[in-house]
Amino acid sequence: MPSSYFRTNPNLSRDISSEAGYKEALAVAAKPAEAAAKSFAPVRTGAYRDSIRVVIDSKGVRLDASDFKSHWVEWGSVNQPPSAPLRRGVRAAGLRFKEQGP
Amino acid sequence: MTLTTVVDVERLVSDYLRAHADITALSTRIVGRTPDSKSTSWVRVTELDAPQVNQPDHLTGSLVQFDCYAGEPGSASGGQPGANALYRAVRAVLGTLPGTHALGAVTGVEILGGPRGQDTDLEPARDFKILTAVIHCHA
Repeated sequence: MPSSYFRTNPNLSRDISSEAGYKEALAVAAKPAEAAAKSFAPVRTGAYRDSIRVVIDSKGVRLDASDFKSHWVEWGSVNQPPSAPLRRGVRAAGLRFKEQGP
Repeated sequence: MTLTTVVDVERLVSDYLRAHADITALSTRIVGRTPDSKSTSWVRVTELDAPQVNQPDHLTGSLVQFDCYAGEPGSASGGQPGANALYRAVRAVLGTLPGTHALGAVTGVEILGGPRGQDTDLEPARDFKILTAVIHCHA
């Protein structure tokens, strides 16, 4: 009777992430977070809310807010408390976020 | 009719931090909004979100942000070292938070980390480090 062997692939994560369609699939999974973040965004002109979108680039897939005041809205400052629409949007979508520097 | 409300997480964690020896040793202030006097360091506590975990509305997973601001540049609690030391102390003390408190029971704390930077709304810019945590608690 022929034998079967199982060998783990130490490069599994890298191999999966280099598959065609991987980033697109991640982007689809991130769309609910984008919608939730937009719903949490404070609105005056709508510029900040409209700048929230899922971005695919060489670094991967991320939820991004490109408006110039995004940092203050998300993290706050001495003059205003944080609103955190991106972090709240990720949680509301049932995803986990990892905080890291630029 | 008596209502059972969810835990006031901001008050619970702020009271805990204020009473902890590792925080009092830093002579820092635990606040709910930016203090008028900014000469010494402070930690601003803000609950960002408190979704219900399951039915009924009893256990919450509160997303809380701790803004750890250093004291004035050049002071003992100032600069990047001051902000980092404050952040590390708060992070360590949060690790001891699970348990029963007067305002409620904390069943778990998950540290999510946070960025370091300088707040340019102050002149000169003030060093800070942000800590985000999920605090699971119930009344």
